[in-house]
Amino acid sequence: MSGFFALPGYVQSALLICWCVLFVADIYCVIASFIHKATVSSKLICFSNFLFCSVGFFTFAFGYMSNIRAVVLLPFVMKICSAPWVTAFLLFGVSLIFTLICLRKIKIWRTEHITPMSIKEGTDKLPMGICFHDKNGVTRLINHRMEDICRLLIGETQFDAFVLWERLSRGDVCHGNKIILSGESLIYSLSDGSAVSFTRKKVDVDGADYYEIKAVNVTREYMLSLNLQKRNDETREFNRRLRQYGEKVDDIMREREILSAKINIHDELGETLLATRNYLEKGKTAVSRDKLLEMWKSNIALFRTGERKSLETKSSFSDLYEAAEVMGIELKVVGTVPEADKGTLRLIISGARECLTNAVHHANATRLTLEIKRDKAFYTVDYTNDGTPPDGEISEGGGLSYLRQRIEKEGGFMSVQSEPDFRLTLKLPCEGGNPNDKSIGG
Amino acid sequence: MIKVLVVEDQAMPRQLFESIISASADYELVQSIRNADLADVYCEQFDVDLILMDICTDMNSSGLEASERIKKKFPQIKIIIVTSMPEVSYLDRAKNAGVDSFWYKEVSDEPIISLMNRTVAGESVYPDSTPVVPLGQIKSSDFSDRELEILRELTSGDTNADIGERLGISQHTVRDHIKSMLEKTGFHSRTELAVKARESGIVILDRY
Repeated sequence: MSGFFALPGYVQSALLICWCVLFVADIYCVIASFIHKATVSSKLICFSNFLFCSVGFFTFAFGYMSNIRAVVLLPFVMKICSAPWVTAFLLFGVSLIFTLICLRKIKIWRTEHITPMSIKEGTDKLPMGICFHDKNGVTRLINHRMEDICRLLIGETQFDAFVLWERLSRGDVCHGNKIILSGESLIYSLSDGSAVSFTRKKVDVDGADYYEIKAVNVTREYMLSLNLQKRNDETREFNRRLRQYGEKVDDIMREREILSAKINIHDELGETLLATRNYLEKGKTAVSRDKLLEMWKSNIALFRTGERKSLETKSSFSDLYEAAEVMGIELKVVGTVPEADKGTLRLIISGARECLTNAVHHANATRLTLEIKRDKAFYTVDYTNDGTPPDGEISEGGGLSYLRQRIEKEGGFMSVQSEPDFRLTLKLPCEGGNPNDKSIGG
Repeated sequence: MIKVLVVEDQAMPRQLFESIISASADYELVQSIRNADLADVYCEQFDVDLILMDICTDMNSSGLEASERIKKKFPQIKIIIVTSMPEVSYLDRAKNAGVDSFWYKEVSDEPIISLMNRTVAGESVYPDSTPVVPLGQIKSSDFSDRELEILRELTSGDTNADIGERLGISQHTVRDHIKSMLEKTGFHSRTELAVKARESGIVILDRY
């Protein structure tokens, strides 16, 4: 025996092991070339190399086995194994070179081309959740983040994507998760403290319809919006208190003015007393006797004025009664006067003023009746008189048109009836009512 | 005798005016009322020659609005506005309404009786300017007209968007003006600015 057979047993074993590794590598190269859809020439090279390596491996394998037990070798196997031992190494070397070339080509191809696996790896690295499904709802691609989100929201990662979207839209999710915004874009606050925005859109892939669902982390924006909402609530509360202050500030300023006036009176009286004492003690003073007398008259007149019943105890509406009395008209009020609702009261008085004037000038009336009714959102005030009805349609002059402007500016309504009798009707929004509630007034 | 109508909702100033008129030989008090909206009624019924008209009267009825109405109906009636509020727009609004004279209760050196005499004689007496009051680190005269407009609206407690809509400017412009006013006055918040402005009386919002 010569050639390969002449080599020591351990050398033959080592060579065969190397051939075996090469053989496996060539199998990989062939499979890879087909999977990656390599060019025809590349597939040919890989396949040819695989065949060459296979022949070489099995040839020397059979040759090695013939050493161990009696095996009938094929003539060409015999021939190759009998060739000088360098042939075995040479053949191995050639196969090795071609295998290395194929492996390198495959490596280059993989770095330069996107494979389905690389797409999956890439999407798994995305910070957002993403899922692609077909028109039947079958998921084609889903990344880890989306799986985690779905596990939190619906407790599973295998689902019909259409059902998933429907559940998200309805808010039908596991406890601890909360829908913040619904619509085309859905925003959820998840049980892990994060906030996610879901969007879905249709994509065309080679003429087929697929759907892409994205879940973007908007936790920071959500926290900012919560913070903003909190600050807006605080600002609204400040504004509410400022409005309340605005309503009270007139009373506060009034009290200040009253105090200032009282101080003035006190000072005047004090000055008068001092001047009088000087006059009585020393017989002369900085002011003349007549002037002193004038000062006392002024102070006494002031005290006498103060003896009159204070107007402050009278209600605002009582001024209207007095004004009507001055005009020789009896004012009759049916219903409850909204004394606490200053804005409405003022408008009612303005309406009464117009009607008083017109009742005297045009109707020769002796009585003006105000009928005040209230529903949820409006006060309705009807003004009528017992005078002569108007001749024909009333055209709104300066007073009535000005009144209308003010009423409408405050969200109220005004109507003037000329026949059969004069009637002015005001519909005035009450404080806390909703003047836009068309089911009630207007 | 010159017939005088007093329109003043506060008892002390009203009584002071009444006593001044009563003590005078030239003037006769027709009536004292609290509500400017009813002043026309008394002008209809009495031969009023002169009105001492406060601006902020009972139920926030405006003496300026009442003056404008009365001047249209009764141009011969003289009107003197009497106020203690240094609201910056009152002087111009009074002039536009046709008010004859203007008197600041606490600041004017001239006694009211003297002003009444001059007004009845045909003079129109107005102060040169609104009283200047301090507001924070600056004076009321240091604000621009637009700033005062916005400051007035700010006292309503409404949002920048609402204020901007009323004034016909953007809410960002409103915000910038408020920021400028805060920097000028040294106040720390818009609430503080609004409260101080309202307390000082340099801006008063007509609510009704």
